[in-house]
Amino acid sequence: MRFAIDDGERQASGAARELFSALAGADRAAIERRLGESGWLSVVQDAGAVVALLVATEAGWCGLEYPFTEMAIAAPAAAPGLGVAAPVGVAAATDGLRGREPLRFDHGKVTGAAWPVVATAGVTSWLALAGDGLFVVHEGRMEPMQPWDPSVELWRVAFDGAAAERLPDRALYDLLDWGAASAAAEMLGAAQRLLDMSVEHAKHRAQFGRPVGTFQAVKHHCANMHVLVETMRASVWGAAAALASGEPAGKAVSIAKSYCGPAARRVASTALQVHGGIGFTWEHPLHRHLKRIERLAMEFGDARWHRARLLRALR
Amino acid sequence: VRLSDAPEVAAYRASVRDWIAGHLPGGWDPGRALTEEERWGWFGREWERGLHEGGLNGASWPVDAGGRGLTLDHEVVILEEMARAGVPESVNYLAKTMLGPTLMDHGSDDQRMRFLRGVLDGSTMWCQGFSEPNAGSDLAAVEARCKADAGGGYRLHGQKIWTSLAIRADWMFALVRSEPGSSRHEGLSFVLLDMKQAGVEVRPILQIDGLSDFNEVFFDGARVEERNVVGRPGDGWRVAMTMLGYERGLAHVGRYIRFDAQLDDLVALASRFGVLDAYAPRLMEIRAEIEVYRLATYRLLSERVEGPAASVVKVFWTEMLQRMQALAVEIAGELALSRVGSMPEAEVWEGRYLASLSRTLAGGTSEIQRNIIAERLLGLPR
Repeated sequence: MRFAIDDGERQASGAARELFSALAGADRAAIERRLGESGWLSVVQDAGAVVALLVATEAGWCGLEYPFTEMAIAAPAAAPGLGVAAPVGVAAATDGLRGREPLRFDHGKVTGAAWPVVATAGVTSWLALAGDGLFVVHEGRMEPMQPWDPSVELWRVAFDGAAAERLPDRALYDLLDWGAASAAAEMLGAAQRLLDMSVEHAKHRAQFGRPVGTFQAVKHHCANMHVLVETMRASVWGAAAALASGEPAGKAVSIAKSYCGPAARRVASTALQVHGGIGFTWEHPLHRHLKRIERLAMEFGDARWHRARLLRALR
Repeated sequence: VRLSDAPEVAAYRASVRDWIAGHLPGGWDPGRALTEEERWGWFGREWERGLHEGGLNGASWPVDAGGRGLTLDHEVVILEEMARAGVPESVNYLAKTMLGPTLMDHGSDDQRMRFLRGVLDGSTMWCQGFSEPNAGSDLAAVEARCKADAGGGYRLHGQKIWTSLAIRADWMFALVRSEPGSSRHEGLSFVLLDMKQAGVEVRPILQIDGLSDFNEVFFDGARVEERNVVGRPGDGWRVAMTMLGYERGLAHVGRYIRFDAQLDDLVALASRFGVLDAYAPRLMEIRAEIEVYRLATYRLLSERVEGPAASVVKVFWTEMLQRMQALAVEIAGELALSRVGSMPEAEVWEGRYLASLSRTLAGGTSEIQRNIIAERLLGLPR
């Protein structure tokens, strides 16, 4: 048992932070191009679960304006053959239908519409969940939607009887497990960033003639965030170790996703409280991380979905 | 990041499991609550001696200290397999996980010679004399006075409180004030003293859960031999801090397995009462948190981080346990109202809930832990 990051893993993580930080503020197409260049993403994908989730954590910390979990981790895990050159989106409501119609598969074709879907504008192929199968579809009509999270684009994707190819059954599990684990990792990164910002703010913002971070009430908010962040990290590494082991990883992934979603949301709301009014302005970056967490808490199964899966594992 | 046992550790795990199965009393039922007499009598003496003979006490201690020179991973395996078999937490855990390693760091050869063996074979039971009525969260406020005695050695006056195991212990390790007029971290000594002597009086504290895990200990001229000061006289704070460093880590190992077993019982109870659907999301939330506790413990052990990182795990597990026991009482419902009646599987939870309330106090309150996290890990100004 060695539940710690080794030097190689730390280097990969540092390189990712450097790259993602350099991409801050770049336009979306440039980011997508840069990530695809020189096979950088395929290297991450080939490096195994631990590196993949450490890099996803950095995407969260940096607030990378790219759907990293959906397109760099989940889609390639489910359909490794499709490659990065032609971007692949995920059109699957993983959290139950909630008033939407399911996609239909009939006579080799997929029909219907999936929304909301997080993807880049350049997606040319889709992984579509229709019935209980996951299909590859190369034609989807993308209609833009308005996302709360400003770091991604959101779509309604319509399939008008597009030719579809069914993936093996385990592709759906891979999509969910890798997607959920990576979403947990991105939330961990975003939560860490919110904690870092809150600590900086508490050290420098003065009221009553002293930094607000000297007040125990504020200290305890920050301590609570730290406890949440470090326990989230343990759960994400647990999911990484399980995915890397090659054994079924569903339980470890569901633990991480069901733990990290609510924990990250608590970190985010606490961060806003520590920042005070400035954190409620659009101008301040806090809301971008908060909204990334709100989104990822829902994607690839929310806490309720993953807790239900844990209960099924008992029966 | 790797969680699986290395092959030699996996083999060791299998052998430990076999050893435990072969040495437990016939008809052993891991679910049955033990009486105090069983826990202290048979498990306190015979079982500890057996563990020693089987090489399972002090597995990671150096060979010249009476141990087996194995790794921390082996120690983890032993504690986890004990928990899995439902063996109660060792009555001598303070000595095994804290005193032993501290004596190896700061003790004299003579102290190691005289005390380590008794820790390993269970012939000497130890208690910890740190907290006092006016030194709880603020440990450096310790007042118990240790004065040089005309006849050699020292005499101890004063009081300790919240002393677990004191009523049964043979010896105590204690932090006392040895330099009159000194204050705070200066002038303290770390001493070892015989509990079975005149001048030591132990009074059990009756707790809200009806048990007496904690005691008061009064000293009225109790004798401390000169050779039983650990480290330099006056340097006790440093020794005590070394010891608290060892409190982290291993103390957590196995606890998550006991909690998981309790949670299984709770799922079964909810199912039997027809309320599983209503409580399933919260039960599975706790299941995930127990697993997070296990992983956080592994990280603490793997990274061997110093000091304050342990506060994170302390805050997390104690508050998680309270949520779990509070949920348990809800599931037991009105049946939790009686202390002893006709359905133990439902009646056991209120007592466990009440006991859990002490966990955010003992070993450093949650508030102190949060201050440590904020000031020492996050660097917030004092």
